[in-house]
Amino acid sequence: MHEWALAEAVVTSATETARQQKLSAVDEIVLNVGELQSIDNEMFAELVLGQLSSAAAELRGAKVRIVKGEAAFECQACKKEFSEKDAKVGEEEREAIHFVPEMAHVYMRCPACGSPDFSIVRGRGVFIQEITGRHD
Amino acid sequence: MIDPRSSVIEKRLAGVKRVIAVTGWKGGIGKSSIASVLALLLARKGRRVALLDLDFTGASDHIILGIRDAHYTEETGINPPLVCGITFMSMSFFSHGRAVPLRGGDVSQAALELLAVTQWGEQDFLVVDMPPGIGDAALDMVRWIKRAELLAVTTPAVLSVETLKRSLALFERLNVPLLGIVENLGTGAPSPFSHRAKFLGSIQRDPGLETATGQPEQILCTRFAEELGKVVAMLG
Repeated sequence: MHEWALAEAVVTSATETARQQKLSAVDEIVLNVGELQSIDNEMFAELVLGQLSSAAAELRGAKVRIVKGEAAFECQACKKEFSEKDAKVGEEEREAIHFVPEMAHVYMRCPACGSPDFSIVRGRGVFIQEITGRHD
Repeated sequence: MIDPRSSVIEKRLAGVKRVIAVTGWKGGIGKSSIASVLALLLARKGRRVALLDLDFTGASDHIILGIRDAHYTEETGINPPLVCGITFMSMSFFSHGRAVPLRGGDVSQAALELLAVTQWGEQDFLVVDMPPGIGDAALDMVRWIKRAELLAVTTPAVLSVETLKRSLALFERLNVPLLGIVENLGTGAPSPFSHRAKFLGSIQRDPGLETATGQPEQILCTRFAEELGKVVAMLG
C-alpha cells in the first residue's frame, strides 16, 4: 500500500521538525489527512505508529491524532465553490485520485458549469498539523 | 502545517546512482523522444534504468515505448512496472488516456506525490522527462533532486537556440550541473553550441522514428537511436 510511503514521509519529517525545535520527547503528532486522499484514517494512524516505534528515541511513544481535511474546490471559470460529493466521483476515478489527488482535475468537473479548471482549495494530501513535546 | 513529502525524496532515490533530467525549453523539440530512447539504449547496454515521465500535461513516453497494459503494484509505496527493461513511471497510469489539465502549482504537487511514494529500487540511472519550460514544476524538480544532471535538448531553430541560452544561464545560477547539450532535428549544419565543451552531439532529423513509434525494437534500429547511442557512450 502506498500509504506506507506517506507514513514514512510523516515520520521522517516529524523527526526533522522535532530536532529543529530541540524537543527531547514528542508527546503527540497531529496529522491533517485530506479527504481527496481517500485514506482510512485509523489504518494510517497505525502505520505511522508502527514506524514511530523504530524511529529516533525522541519520537518513540508519541501519540498520533488524525484530523480529517474536508475537500473543497473553487471553479476558476464561474467561481462556484463545491465539495467532492457535489462533483459525483465514481469508484475507479476515486482510486486514481487516491494515488495522486491532482487527478481530480482529470475526472471531476465543476457541477455548475462543467469546467475542469478549478482549484483545490483544501482537502488534498497529508500534512503534519502540529507536533507537541517537551524540551527537558 | 508541514508538508512531509519532500523529506523522503532522497530516501526514495537512495538506490539510484545517477539522475539525468532531460529538459528542453521549447515544445516539439523531441525531449520525450530523447528521454525515452535514452532509457531504452541504457537498458540495452545492460544498465539498470528507470524512466519517470514528468511531462504530465503532454505525457508521451508510454506512447513512444508502446507501453499499454503495464501496471504498477503496491507494497511499501508504488512499485513501477518493468517494461522493455525500463522501470517506468508515468501519470498515464492514473489518467487512463484522458487530458490532464493541470496548472503549474498542481503539476508540482502531483510530481511531489509521485516522488514521495514511488519506490525505485536499485538503478544505475533514473532518466527524468522533465516538465517543459522553466515553470513551477521544473524549478521544484531541481530543488528536490539536487544531484540531477541536466541533459538539455535543443533544435537548430533560432528560437530554440536562444531559449536554450537563456535557460542554461538560469540553471547555472541555480547551481544545477549540466551533463550536456544535445541538438535534435539537426540539418547537418554546425550547431551554434558545437564549440561548447558540453556539446554532446547532433541528431539528424529522422522520419524513421515516427514510423517506429510504439515499437521499441524498431526504434532501436533507427538512425535516431544510432546517433543518440553516441551520446549514451559518453555517459559511461
